[in-house]
Amino acid sequence: MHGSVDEVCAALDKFTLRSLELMEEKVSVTLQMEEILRDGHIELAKSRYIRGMENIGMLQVPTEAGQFESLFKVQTELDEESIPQFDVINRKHNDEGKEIPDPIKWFGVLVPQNLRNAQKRFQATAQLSSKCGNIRTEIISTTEKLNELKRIKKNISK
Amino acid sequence: MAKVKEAMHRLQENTGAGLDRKGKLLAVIGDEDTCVGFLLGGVGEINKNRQPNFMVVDKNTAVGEIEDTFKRFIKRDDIDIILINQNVAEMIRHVIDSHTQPVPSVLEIPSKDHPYDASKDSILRRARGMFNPEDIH
Repeated sequence: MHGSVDEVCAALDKFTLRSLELMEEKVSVTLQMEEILRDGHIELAKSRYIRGMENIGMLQVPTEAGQFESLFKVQTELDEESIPQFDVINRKHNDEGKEIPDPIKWFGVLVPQNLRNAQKRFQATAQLSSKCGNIRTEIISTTEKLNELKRIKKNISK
Repeated sequence: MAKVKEAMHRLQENTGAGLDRKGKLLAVIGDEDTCVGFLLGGVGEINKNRQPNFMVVDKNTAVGEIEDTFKRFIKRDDIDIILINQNVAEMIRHVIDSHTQPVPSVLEIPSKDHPYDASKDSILRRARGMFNPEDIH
């Protein structure tokens, strides 16, 4: 596959650098997520303060099947190197074409603005997760390539 | 304007559905606030077998239970991204470390009271493992 040690070493360098770049990217995207999530949690806490502790929690979430459907769908496609690429799509209608009710309605009709803000923050995080997922898959594939190259290098230098 | 937006969404759905018509789900494992937040965002779904795509972890939740749910989410073919609080991930670190497949993607997210620690993240630890001192000649 690779002719000389130099070629293997050059490829190793290239993938090592790429892997460092990806690690940095992963940390920065996660920190970005952290910031948005923190805002979301604060908005959620503010709406709890307005509506009362018991009125915003898991107790308001329906538990029956068919009562709620996801507003997000993950589309996964393979790129030219067969690495899965995620894309989070926001939808308003389910597969049958029916409109999916807004989850904010579980918490009442006249909800505080803070709850709407919290919803936006968490939705932004869900969108960002596809970016994070793509970085993760690239890290995995780069790591595999590095392992393979190291093995080749060992075989050549024997 | 709203109608145009709606049409755009439908178009996006239809074109995006070319490869996989149904699309997959995001799953959440975390504390109550994280789950409530993401469910409010519209991530949650309970399928026809009454299986939710989320799990609330509190101080009374057994580690085995988290482990089972995580394994179940990995096996489910309708889940492509799993979001898990990093402090919860710490409890089942060995299971997360053993999941090396690109799909479903397991992402560690910070929780309200545990900020993100990159040195604990499974995927970053794995990538860092590539830089062993003995490999550098």
